[in-house]
Amino acid sequence: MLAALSTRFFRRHPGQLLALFLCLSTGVGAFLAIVMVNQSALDSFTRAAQAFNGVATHRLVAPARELRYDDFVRFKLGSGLAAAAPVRELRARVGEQSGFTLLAIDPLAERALGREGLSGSLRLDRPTDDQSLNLLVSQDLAKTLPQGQFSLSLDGRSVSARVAGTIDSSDLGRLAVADLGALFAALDDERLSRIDLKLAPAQAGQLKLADGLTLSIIERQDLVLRELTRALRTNLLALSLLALLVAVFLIAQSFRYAYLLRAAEFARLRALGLARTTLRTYLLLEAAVLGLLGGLLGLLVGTGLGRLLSAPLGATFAELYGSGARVQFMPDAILLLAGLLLAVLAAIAGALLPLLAAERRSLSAQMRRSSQETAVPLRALLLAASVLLVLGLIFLNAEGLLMAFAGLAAITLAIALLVPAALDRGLRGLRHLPVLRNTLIANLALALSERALSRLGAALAALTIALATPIGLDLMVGSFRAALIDWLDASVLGDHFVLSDAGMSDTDLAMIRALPGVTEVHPTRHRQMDADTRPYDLMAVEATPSRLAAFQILAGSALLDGTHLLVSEAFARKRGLKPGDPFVLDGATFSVSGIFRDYRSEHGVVAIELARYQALFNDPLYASLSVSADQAGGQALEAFVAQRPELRVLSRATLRAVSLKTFERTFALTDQLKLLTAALAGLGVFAALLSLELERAGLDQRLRALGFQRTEILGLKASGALTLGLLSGLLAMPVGVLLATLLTGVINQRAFGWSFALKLDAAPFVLALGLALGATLFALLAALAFAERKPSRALLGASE
Amino acid sequence: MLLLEGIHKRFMNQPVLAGLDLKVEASECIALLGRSGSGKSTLLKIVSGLELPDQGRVSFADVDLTRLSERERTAHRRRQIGQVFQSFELFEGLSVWENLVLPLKLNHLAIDADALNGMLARVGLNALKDRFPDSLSGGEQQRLGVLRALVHRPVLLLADEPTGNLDEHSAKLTLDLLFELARECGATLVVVTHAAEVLNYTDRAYELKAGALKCLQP
Repeated sequence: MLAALSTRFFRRHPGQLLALFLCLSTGVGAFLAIVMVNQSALDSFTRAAQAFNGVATHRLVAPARELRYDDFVRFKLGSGLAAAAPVRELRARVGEQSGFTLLAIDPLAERALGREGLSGSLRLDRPTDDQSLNLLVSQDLAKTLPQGQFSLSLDGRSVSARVAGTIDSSDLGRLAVADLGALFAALDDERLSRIDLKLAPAQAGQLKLADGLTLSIIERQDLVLRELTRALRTNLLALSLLALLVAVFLIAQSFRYAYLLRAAEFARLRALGLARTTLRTYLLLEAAVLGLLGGLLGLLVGTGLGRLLSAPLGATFAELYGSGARVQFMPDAILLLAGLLLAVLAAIAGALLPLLAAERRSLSAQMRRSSQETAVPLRALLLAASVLLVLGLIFLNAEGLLMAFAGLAAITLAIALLVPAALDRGLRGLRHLPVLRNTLIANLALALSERALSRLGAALAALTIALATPIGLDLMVGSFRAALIDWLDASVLGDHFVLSDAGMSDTDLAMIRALPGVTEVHPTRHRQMDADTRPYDLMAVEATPSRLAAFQILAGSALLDGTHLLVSEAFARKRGLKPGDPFVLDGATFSVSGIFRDYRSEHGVVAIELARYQALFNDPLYASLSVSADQAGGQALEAFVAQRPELRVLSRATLRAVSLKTFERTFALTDQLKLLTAALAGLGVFAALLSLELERAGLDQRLRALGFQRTEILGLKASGALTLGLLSGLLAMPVGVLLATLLTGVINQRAFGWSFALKLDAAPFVLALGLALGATLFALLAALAFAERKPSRALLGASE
Repeated sequence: MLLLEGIHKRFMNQPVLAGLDLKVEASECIALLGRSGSGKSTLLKIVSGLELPDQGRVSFADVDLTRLSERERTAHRRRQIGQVFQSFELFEGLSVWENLVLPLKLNHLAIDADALNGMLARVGLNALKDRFPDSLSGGEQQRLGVLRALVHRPVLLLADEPTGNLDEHSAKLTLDLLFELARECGATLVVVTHAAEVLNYTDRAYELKAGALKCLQP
């Protein structure tokens, strides 16, 4: 009988069923989509890194002698390491054109390293009829090379070559790839530039190297992207959490409406003798079944949405790092089950909570509509919110990222619980404004909205959180960007950067210093270290005043000498170091003189004086040189590097632009996700307003009977809804700032160890307010349009 | 004066009103009786301007409602007409006081708090003015409905089964109040009812049958 009543209820109110399924499918769908995007961000990056840089972590070079293919063979046999790939890097030229880099690689070894992005599926070693060298070339280079066979100048020798294909990536510049064996044959010379290796930090320390070979960590070009991707993922995780809360609110509220509309009916059944447990069991089953069906629909919506949103992310990574970065992502079984569980549990909570609340009142009270639309239960909400706030603060002060997320969730939930009470106070305050008190439509709209708040409260709480989320994310991303620019500008010295994977010698340094127009050169050496199995980067720099001034010191002072070193913020935070603390490096004890800001590595950086480093590690090479030079000096440097294929030069502007471009692209995705969350909340408001419209079907006719014009009725509804939207938008502002503070001050700091100051910007606030009004107005119009199709004939007597 | 001439109205191709004529003088109180489905409520909706007849003319105070736009009919209804409903049709979201002053605000009329408090006290609702309608008894709600219909002093008062949901005692109190206030205001009153006792209060009574009116109480 209960099932029959339910079926007839939903048949009579298809709009309610539609709202219920919309909330379920969109709630689950949005949550699933955001989690999928998060996972695909990781997958895309992993693939991108493997496609282009492979999983190579280290390089073997022979600074003092020639590195030969025999060294590679002996190393492989001696170490038993499969993930090793020999590489010859040369400067090439065709005729009078400008030069380009030629990489000669061993496709089989590349595959063992998991790096197939450059060689692709083309057989480079296939001999051609004319015995010329087959080349795979970048798109930029392909445009300038002649068709067919041509003469290639390599290390001053002329070799016959031809283009065998192009590499599918637009960001490679002028690059050619050839088979290593074919190059050896063409040059009759088996020299190598380096051997790329994939090593765990512990393996690197245990490796026995032949005389003349040195091991260095790869100066990863993707370092910034890697860290940004992690930052993006962490913040997406926070966004998933907030989307989950919004989804739970929406689903629970849609089931609450379905209950409340039938509350009087249920009370009548109870009055007729239906057992309380029977009603509870039935509602639980009904919610579970509907939750399951809606959840399944949500899985479909979420999978589609997730794939749609993941596509631009994959394309961005692919554009930056080659087509191998593209992923075809499907949610795994655990994620699908989590989505279903979310739907079912939220549905059950939504159905049972109002029933349990109603059971505290008498049956006669339950039969009255007004008892369901009472004032907001301020005391209960305050109590629950206080408990959650205390829990949130405890979680935030506990160790670990997981606890930080738990704290964020608890505080967000506490705020959501307080939203209806805050709106209630806001509406009352507005009603007392003389200008509104004397305006009939506004006053009536506020009065009706105030009374409807117990129905709309959950939807508006979800809207507030959903609007606060973009504010929080925007402020966090904007602050991060500002801090990154500030750090790049302050910490990057010089106008040009000369980089070498094999390392540069004192002779190279002296030659560059001697170039006309070069005013200053700062050499740097990096080494991957491993303390207590926790890796970190060791950076050796000269202790000149200008170099020391580039450190943004957060605590202590910038002092580097034989006994003092500097540590990055992340390093200090993870190891609990402060200025004055001792730190042991390779057996030597140093004192931490200061802590500096650094966004390069979450593992942290330790900076020591260059001469001390060279003495400690017997490593005379430099990985990079920061060069300050005038225009003529820059040209001289370019010319110098052009003659040295193992060197690369980057301008300061390029480095800055690349870093920021990567930042913008990586975080651009959050824009879509923010809109998705706001749309989700808008849908929640639509469902709530639709329920209210269906329930208030007689209101229009009553108002019309009293002499209200249609436009006045529309104005009354619009002003009521817009006021609630506006108040939600206004409330979202401080909540957004709080979320941004938690994201910057707790989540990001806990995840990466680095901090940045929160910078307020007006744009996210304006956007949130616009979204609030837009979502509410859209929701109202949609609800009115849908409700129009189902006019009530119940009031003022049916037409006779 | 309310004048209905040759009113025709069909619903679902069934004639509900068929050439109905009615003339009610100013300040006169009349009753309309009839079986369920005879068209009484439809007739009231036509008089109030909520619906238009398919054919015929409705005029009130020399204004032909059928020639007015919907906007004009609404404005006319707002100022000239008060209505009492069988199911009260109060606003659950508004307090007793807010329900009462609504027509005054709608017509931009002054709110004389003393006079209104006096009206509420007269019907025993003064102490309940901050309560919401469905915490009131049926009789209390209908008394509030009557006050609301008359608070802006309309010229025409329409009551659709005003005692249909009330017990005998409450019904008598409501009818006493309705007719007393209508006479005090000098309003023309048209009551649609099943209740024979209403005839004790009215000047004339008609039965609506087969779409036309038959005078019961000349």
